[in-house]
Amino acid sequence: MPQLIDDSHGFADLERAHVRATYLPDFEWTAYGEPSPRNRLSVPLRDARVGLVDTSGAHVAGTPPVGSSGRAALIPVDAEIALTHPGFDVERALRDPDVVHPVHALRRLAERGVIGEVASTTVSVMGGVLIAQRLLDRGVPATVQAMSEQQVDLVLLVPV
Amino acid sequence: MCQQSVGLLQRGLDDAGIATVSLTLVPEITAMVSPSLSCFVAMPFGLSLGDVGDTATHEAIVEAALHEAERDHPAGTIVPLPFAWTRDDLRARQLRKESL
Repeated sequence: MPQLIDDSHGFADLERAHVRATYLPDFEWTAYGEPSPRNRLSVPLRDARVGLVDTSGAHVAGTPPVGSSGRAALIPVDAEIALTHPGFDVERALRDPDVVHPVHALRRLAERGVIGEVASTTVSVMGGVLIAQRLLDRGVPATVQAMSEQQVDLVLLVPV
Repeated sequence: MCQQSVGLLQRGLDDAGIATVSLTLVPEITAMVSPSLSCFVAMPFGLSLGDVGDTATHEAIVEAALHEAERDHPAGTIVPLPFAWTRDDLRARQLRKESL
């Protein structure tokens, strides 16, 4: 395994400056003074139903993308997906969507008995939402509802 | 921006009482949003789980992150996982805003 080095120091300042110069002059990162609470797994991982949430801008092929609305797309794990996101190379990711939307990796873990099962519906938002309130108003409640209704034991969240 | 968005979604799930673990590609942004538990991998944007077709790495990263959810970390922890992009300088160029 390679030695892990956090090479990203300074990126937040660079990205803030880029967003302010290009899109939103008063952009600022959303910051919290306290972490959100940790909820312990209520079952062993090998028995857990695991949900997937990502910010790849995935949506069911043939349906409209969610865009920068902050809305969440609900995607069955078996669905053919499209990726619509201005912030990364979606053509590359479409050759193997697991690089941002790892449903097959989760399924292999279920087959190996590492987890119990994969929740049947995944959630994806287009993560390049500059106005965080849009995500808080739309994407967050939809994500919580989707995961709660599926009675997941654990959610894995994947950024791009 | 996606690191912030993941953190906001995660905070909502945390506040709803659901167990979570996330990945992050930029710990300093995740630290500002401060979700309950995140795992740092030094992968390029858009290749969060590793290279196209590298199923072994995809699976290993997911498995490692899920196992961290079993451990007794305090809220706000960012765990460095031993996965980094070594194929070329894509991640370095992205971090300089020179490439998608």
